[in-house]
Amino acid sequence: MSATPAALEASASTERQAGGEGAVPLLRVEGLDMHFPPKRRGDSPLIAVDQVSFTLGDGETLSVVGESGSGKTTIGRCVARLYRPSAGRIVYRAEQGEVDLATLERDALRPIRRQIQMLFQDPNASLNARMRVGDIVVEPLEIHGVGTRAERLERARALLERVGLGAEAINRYPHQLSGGQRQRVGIARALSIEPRLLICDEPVSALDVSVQAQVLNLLRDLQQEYGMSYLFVSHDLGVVDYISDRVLVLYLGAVMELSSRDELFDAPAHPYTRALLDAMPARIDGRHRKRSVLPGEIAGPSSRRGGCPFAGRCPHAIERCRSEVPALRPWSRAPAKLVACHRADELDLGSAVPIPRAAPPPSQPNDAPA
Amino acid sequence: MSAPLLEVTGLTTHYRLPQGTLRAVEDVSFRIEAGETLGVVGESGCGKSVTARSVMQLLPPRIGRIVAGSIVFDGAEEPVDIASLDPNGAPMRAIRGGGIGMIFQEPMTSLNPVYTIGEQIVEAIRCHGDLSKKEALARAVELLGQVGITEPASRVRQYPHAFSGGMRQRAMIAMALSAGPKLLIADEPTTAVDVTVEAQILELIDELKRERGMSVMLITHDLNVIGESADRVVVMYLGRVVETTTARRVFDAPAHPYTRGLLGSLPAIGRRERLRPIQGSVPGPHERPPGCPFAPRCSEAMEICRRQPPTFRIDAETSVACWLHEEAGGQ
Repeated sequence: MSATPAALEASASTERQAGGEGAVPLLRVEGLDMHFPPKRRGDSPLIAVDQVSFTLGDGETLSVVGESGSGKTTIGRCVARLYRPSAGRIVYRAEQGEVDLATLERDALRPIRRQIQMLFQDPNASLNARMRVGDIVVEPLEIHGVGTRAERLERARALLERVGLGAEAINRYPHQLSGGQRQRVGIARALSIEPRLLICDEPVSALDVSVQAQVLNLLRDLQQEYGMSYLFVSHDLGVVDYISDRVLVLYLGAVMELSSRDELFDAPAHPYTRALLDAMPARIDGRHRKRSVLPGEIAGPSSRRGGCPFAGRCPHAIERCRSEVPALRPWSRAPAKLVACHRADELDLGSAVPIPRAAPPPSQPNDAPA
Repeated sequence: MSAPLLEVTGLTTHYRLPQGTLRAVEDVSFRIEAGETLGVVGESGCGKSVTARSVMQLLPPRIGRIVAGSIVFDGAEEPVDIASLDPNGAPMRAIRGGGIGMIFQEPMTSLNPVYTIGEQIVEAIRCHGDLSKKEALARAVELLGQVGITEPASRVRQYPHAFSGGMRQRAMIAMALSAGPKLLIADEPTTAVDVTVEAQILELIDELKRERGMSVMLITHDLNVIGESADRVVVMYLGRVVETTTARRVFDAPAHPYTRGLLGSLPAIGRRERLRPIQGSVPGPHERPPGCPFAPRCSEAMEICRRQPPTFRIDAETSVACWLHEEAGGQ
């Protein structure tokens, strides 16, 4: 495997992406804005997503993390075009060529929708309670007119088998299933149409721990088999560490840091990333470390943008942070990583958690970053 | 050893539902010593919340009922068996919010949106003491300050909607502490909040516990919360206690296959090896298997597991309801 030199675009650095389809990512989001109308007339609109840019490669998992109100779910919904973005481009490399999902009209969007599916947090709310499992699973095929009914049902059986439910689940109703089983139905439905991109919005947050692990393993296996890309929205950094290739850290709608998974945990560049990692529970040398507590809470989405959105809670903030919005730019110590912090180059935030690595990464001297 | 603050023995709580009787909690026993935090951990349907509600006699009227066992609370002049008290009687009301305070997962369901935070805390204070309204208000301000709410004197006049999620949880804690309880029951206090706020709330509970010498019963689905905040832990599955041990051992030497399964399922920063989930899923409330409740999902199940195992005591710290530990000896 030959690593390309770290390019300015953060898309370059993952192992899965090197080679294959070449340099054109599956998804390229540029300057995405999502504004919602204010609750009261006369107020300015709420900025849920603010100038967000990232890329997603083939077979890659990019996680979007942040606290509630950070805009992570909204980004997923914009890419799925459940929302029409206020500004920006969502360039998707369709089989027919590149298209900008942000501006595509309904009819043009239809064929693309086949390739992008969504998995929701709450399988109770997202599955139609009146439909049998088999019909739920094949509905996307039906909508897009794929196959005969017999063929579709055959596919449903195969998919239900694959997601670990067993073909006999085809005639059951959602209420006869447990939460984990319903999420498997959601996965089978999303897979039925063989998407290239699966947007997972907190897909395991509502599940019991033992079942959550089953679903995470299933998602990992299916990605290997089908070569799908995942845009994985989550608040749980433990889950994110397990499933991601790269991670985008959001705060109040803006990107704070965009990093490979390992570099995020080993060398956080943004004070907010560091604070999030410090607030995570972690067991070190046989005991849980004391979490350090970030004072304050994330504010709701606001309309005001006068500086770094994190400045008010940041222990390292200086005057400039309150007056000037920091640009997202490559980090001097690891240029494949992007960070939006005026002080990123001078601060040493260390490694958040001494992470026990099962095996050291294969080091090849000539692959070392310049 | 002195008598524990709370000793629950053979607690069995049933819910009468249209589909039949649900054995929500079966033969549950544990003790909470003065000044310690007991964690109660388990997945949905394990009975951890019903156990807490039984201790508070806050079961849904006409549906939930304690059918057996005792709940001896030794926080007043003399020990009293809560299980024998009338849920609506004066002695139980004195314990509820007096000797034992409780906070819930979603503070909004316990705070009344049409009263100010101050009015609600004042009411709680005056229920359990003979302070004047003015004195109670001063006490409310003091309590809000103690739980880390800034500018408590003005915050006390605000309504719950003006508080953030973390502040509401703090206000709930202030209310639960208003009568100076000996035991604080915290039912999933951090499940609905962000991880940064979770760290704040857990630290606050820990601080208050130390300052006041309180005991805490911490109910959670999250083993990490146990590892951080609890001294000892009770692991529950389908209404039964499967293991009682220390918070340290639950990670270092889990004894019950279910506890081991929970640990194998837990993603954590730095954990890259494949997760080892428990097979299957928690059965529905009306599909309790006979014998050991975990047997159908247990990779080590044996013939004998069709019979409910007794609790085997491994040593002073750990006991486990699993036939694998039969050699450890009797009860």
